[in-house]
Amino acid sequence: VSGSGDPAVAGDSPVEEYLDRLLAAAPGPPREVRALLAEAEDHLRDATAAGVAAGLSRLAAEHQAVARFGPVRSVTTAEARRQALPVTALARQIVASGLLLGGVAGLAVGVSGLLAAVMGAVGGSTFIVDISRSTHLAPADCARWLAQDPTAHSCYQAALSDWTAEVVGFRLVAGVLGGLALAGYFLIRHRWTRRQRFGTLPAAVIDTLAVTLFGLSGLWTLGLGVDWLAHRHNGAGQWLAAAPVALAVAGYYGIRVVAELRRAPT
Amino acid sequence: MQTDQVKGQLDLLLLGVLRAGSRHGYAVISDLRERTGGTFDLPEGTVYPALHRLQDGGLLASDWEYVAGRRRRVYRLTDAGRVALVEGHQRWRSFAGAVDSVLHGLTVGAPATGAGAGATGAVAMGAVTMGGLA
Repeated sequence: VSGSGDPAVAGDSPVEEYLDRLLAAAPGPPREVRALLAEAEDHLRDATAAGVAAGLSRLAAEHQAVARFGPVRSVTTAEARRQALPVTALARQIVASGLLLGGVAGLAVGVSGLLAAVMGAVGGSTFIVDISRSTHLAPADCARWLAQDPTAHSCYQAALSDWTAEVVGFRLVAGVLGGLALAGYFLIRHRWTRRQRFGTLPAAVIDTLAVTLFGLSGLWTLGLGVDWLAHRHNGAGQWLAAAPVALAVAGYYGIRVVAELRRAPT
Repeated sequence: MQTDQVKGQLDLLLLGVLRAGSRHGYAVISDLRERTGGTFDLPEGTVYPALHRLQDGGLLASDWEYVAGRRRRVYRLTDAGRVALVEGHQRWRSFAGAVDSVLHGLTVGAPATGAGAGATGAVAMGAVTMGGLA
């Protein structure tokens, strides 16, 4: 649109000059700048129209609209302050993101514990733990293990039973702790959202961290499981119970990362 | 003095205005000025970063519309914003009630000195703000 007959777009238009200065000084990424500029222009046009409707000349109405909108510096300073990320906000984001990722990790370990229990029931305790027949088992430990498992026919069997229970039990405890961490995450999300303080690290950061963490864990435990199957025969299940869970979680976050990459502007 | 008081309660005032329904920025500011009896005298442009901050916090949501060939951002309260408004209103009522209980018996408009003058202004501001949210 051009033409000297329209003072709203003429070079000496106070609104146009104001918008030029706002564009030059506005902080933030281009999309935020464009949004702020669009809102400012919409506001100034409405205010000008109201002034004209009240009997002012267009020029006087524009001057009044610009004056009421305030100096460019006060607008850009307030906008920059909003966009700034204080240390406390970053700390809150790290806590929230840590609880989320830690909770998911804990739950994954818990699920691997359930899987280990199933594997132990199907494949026997030796699939979960590896105790060499030549391992010296202290008499005091034997007495304790046999007391805990009266069905065991030997110290070796009682030890297998005890160690398997530990593998499963510790992972289930990790699962419970993961559940508590997630509960903490949802609690602070609820509370901090009401106080306008909730935030997490950017989704792309969390998802990339998760893919890396769970992906490496999955590959590492899978490698150990295959290696133990090939060379030790016993105990591979403790790793093979963890690998599919970790890889499944990594796959979920991987899909999220791919979706984010597709959405990202090129 | 009144500008500082408005700034201190700006988030609550904006939530209060949007309680009545969706509005674009100019309508929010016009409504705020009318409902506060002209007390609102902040630079109007500084309200937009406040609206953006409330949206960042999940208390407001916004949609873009096209009106007369211009892009227009229309804000609305979210569920979290309604909760925050109720809680903020309760906090304000508690605060204003506490101030009022201390100043009970003072005649507004009578000569006042020192802290009393400032506190009386705070009560007057409280009346205006309460009207805006009620």
